[in-house]
Amino acid sequence: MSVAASPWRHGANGVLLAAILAIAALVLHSTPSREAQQSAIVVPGVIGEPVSGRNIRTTVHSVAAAESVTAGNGWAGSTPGIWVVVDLTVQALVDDENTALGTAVLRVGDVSFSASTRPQNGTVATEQLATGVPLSGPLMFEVPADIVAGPAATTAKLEFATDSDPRVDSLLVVPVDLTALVVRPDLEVDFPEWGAR
Amino acid sequence: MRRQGWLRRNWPALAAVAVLLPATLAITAANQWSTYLAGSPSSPLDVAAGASVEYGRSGWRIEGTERVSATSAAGQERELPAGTDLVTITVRVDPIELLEDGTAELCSARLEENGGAGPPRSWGNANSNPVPLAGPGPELRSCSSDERSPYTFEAEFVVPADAGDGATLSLGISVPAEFPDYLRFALD
Repeated sequence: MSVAASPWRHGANGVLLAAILAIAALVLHSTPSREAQQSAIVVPGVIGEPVSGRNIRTTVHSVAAAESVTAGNGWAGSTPGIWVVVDLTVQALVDDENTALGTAVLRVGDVSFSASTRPQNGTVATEQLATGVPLSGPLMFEVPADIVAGPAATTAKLEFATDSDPRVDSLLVVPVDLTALVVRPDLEVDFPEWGAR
Repeated sequence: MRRQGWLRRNWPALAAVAVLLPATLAITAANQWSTYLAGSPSSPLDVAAGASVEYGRSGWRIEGTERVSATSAAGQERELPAGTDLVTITVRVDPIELLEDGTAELCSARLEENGGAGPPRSWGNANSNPVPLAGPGPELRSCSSDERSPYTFEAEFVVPADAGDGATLSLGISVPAEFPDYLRFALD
């Protein structure tokens, strides 16, 4: 072994160690967290236009607000708050096995409201989806009255997915300005209907 | 004597790491996937149209396929949704061996679409399909545990009118005891 080469060798080892540590730090700080790795794949949409994910396609036709609603099955619902009623079309795209509208959420700021199942089959909230066969009908969200006038109401979002836990799957997100809605005293909606409109 | 370099001295260990590390990852992933796939009908056994085949404890054959649109008289009678077709497939089942409890094995039937422009699609038999149909429908829509002699059932599928356009439709028949294998019948 050459005596003269030793200092250079020690220096090179030091540089190599520093480079390895720098790369390790870079990997550590740039690797997505477990939450990020498993997060839903957000697909943005707009009212009036179809938006598609892996196994779901949805079109939000309109959004309305009312103090009371009457569903197509005759169910009448009053609330101390407000009903936000969404008219939409939804279908599965590739597979209808155990496929339902598992996530139908109105998110206002940090607060989320699931679509009401009180009207039972009067909304599409509890229906199974069919592959390529659209289902049209209402979703009803029962929310506190002050929510639709709050500061976060301008940037509210409707979220849809085929599972109640949409991690590592598509999450369709449609923004809606709740402050632009005129609150009606009552609203009648149609019974959910299968097939193309 | 000149001392050997670090790489030259350690190449057997480095080679072992280079082989064992990817092998470990591959075996772990394969094990996870095989466990997942073994629990569902994921391995098709293709059967030609009209052919008979033994699978599980029964013999199977497609006796006929019928397709009606929502605008046809038959479609209106069943109140098919607009823009859909009803595909009815008659399946003959020849029970060969009964289960230990003396009943015949049950099955699942799914209609599959492959080879189209989009991703593969599939539909459940109408007795588990969410689209409601009017009328009594066929007497048997799936396998029966009560039948001990040859019988037929009619699997019904509500599909969009474009199902099968530029693609191949086939019928998948599966019984849980044979997973991951399932029969995939070509349709006429």
